[in-house]
Amino acid sequence: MDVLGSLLDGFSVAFAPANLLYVVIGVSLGMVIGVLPGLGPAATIALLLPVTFGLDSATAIILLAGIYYGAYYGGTITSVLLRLPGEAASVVTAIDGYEMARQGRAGAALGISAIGSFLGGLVAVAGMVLIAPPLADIAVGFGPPEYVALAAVGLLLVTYLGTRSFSMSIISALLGLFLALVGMDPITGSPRFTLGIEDLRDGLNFVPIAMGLFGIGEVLFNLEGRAGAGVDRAKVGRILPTRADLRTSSGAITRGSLLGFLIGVLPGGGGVVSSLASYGVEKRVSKHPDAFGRGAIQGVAGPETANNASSTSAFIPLLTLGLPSNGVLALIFGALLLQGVTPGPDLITSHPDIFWGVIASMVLGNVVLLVLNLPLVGVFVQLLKVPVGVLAALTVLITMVGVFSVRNNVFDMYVVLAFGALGYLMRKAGLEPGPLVLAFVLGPIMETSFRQAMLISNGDPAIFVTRPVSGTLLGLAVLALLVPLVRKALRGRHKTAEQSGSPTKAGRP
Amino acid sequence: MAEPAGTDRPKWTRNRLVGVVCLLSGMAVILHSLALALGSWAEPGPGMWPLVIGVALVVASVATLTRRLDDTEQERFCPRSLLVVPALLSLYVFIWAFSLLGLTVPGFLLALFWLKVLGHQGWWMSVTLAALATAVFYVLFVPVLGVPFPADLLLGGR
Repeated sequence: MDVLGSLLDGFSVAFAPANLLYVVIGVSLGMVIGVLPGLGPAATIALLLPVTFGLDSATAIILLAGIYYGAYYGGTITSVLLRLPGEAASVVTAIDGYEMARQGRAGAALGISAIGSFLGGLVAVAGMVLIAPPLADIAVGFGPPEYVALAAVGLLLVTYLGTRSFSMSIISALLGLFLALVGMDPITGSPRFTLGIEDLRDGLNFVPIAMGLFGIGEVLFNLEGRAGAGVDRAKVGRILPTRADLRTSSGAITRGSLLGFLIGVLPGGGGVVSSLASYGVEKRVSKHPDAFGRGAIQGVAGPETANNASSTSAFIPLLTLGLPSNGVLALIFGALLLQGVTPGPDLITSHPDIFWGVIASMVLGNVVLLVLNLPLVGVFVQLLKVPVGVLAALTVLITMVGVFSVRNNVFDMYVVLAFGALGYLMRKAGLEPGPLVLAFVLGPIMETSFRQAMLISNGDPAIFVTRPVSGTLLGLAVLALLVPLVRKALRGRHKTAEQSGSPTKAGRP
Repeated sequence: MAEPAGTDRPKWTRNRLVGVVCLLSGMAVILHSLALALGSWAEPGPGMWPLVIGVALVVASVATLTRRLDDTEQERFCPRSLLVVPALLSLYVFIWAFSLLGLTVPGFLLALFWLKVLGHQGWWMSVTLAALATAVFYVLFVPVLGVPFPADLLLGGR
């Protein structure tokens, strides 16, 4: 089999000493930042972009991918022990996980999450091996209209599935599209939105924007001292789940793997959505739904499995279509661009080392994470003692120095500062930075494809709806736009009847 | 959409502020894109795509402005929010000093400020950690990664 041979090649890439080292560094770093308060995977990847610049491209992506899925494992620890979700995807875990911890079963909760995440990750890798190559084959036939449609649908889904309100996410995405306009027009070269500033003629650079919004923005946001100050934390206790625990969770893990994989392939589907969906499914399937919220182990096993599966399968659209499906993957997309590699349908054939190497490294990374989580979880728990102030100081220093190092340019440092302030204000106003960064990356693809499509069709916009793939996608996008409006109208009618809303801000229903 | 008076009146909160800011920026984008060449449908010019985005911004901000608020999405400003001002100022001064004096002295002072003043660490901890962090980053970026930093006040060179 061709796939098998390629996969073996991938393993030979992943087992190269340097790459092996970076897998371990990546996943350990991911674990660490998942545990540490106030720094998410997006911020860390943004901070490391300058460092990856000097690495081989496969190595760079192996490192960053490790951080991404490693952070999900780490985020679980704080959710279970402190009820402080390290990142959004483990919000659901905090419900039953923390409850288990209060009953003295923190170890079991952490153990089952590690095992579930591991299995979910493996299932997703297997699915990726099977689906990605044929998908890339289909995508080779895509023209400009398909790319416009894909990017538009991707952005819409990301905003629709976002954790905050739909209209605010749309605004965030539009700001990203606007920022992507700054600089020279890609086709005619005339300057746009440069305000006469010479440094803006080449456009805004991706790295300082990401580092500012995620790195500095997050640090400023945490200055007010909401992250992890002196919370009582539960004892970990026995880590290995009992046989009964495993039996109870096996169904949840199986369903979580499949659900997570499928949701992860959709744009915007990584992380939060998959864990929420899995929690919902488990609660519905369970014979004792009332046990959920009171320490049901399925409520930990399912979502944790699903979020790791989805964080893996989220790489499929990036590596086959060249379209990142969420903010973190937009950063990885940016890292590939920094390397001079433009992800797209031909990536599998033109850079097999990246594609298969990353896949193989994910298998290794999950094994390393399992080892880190089962025996060494106590070590990571110690990290919770690091004061937020120390982290903030180190973060600002490395951000500033790091951004300078990419282009040896002081102007970029001011850009980081400006976007740090913007990121802070956006958080305060309830705007997520994720859609902005994603849109900033997709903007130029959308514009160029849009203009090429109009050229091809000789000015007939029908080209977007008459071609089967783009037509279907845009149809779905319109549906995605209409559904919330219709639902809102319905809700508005019922609103007088039941006035009280649910206080959870974790997700949309 | 007309809001029912009294009971459910929208508050003039940051939500509205976001809406207004975006409305204004959307209009600015439209104006600027009209100044660029729009081109034709068959051959879109540099202004066409910005126009699309400007219009979308205006539509989205109008939608935000007319939306009834649940107001659970925003973080309130509190007295500690003011810390953002010295924090940003320190970064601004750092960038300026860095371009003149290199990493060592400004980097140490920046880390010290963040550790001691913003981070409430003890003196001993702050000084040690600031010196250590600056040294590590200097070694990492200058000799290891070979980044040409501005000439350094302490270490001179390049």
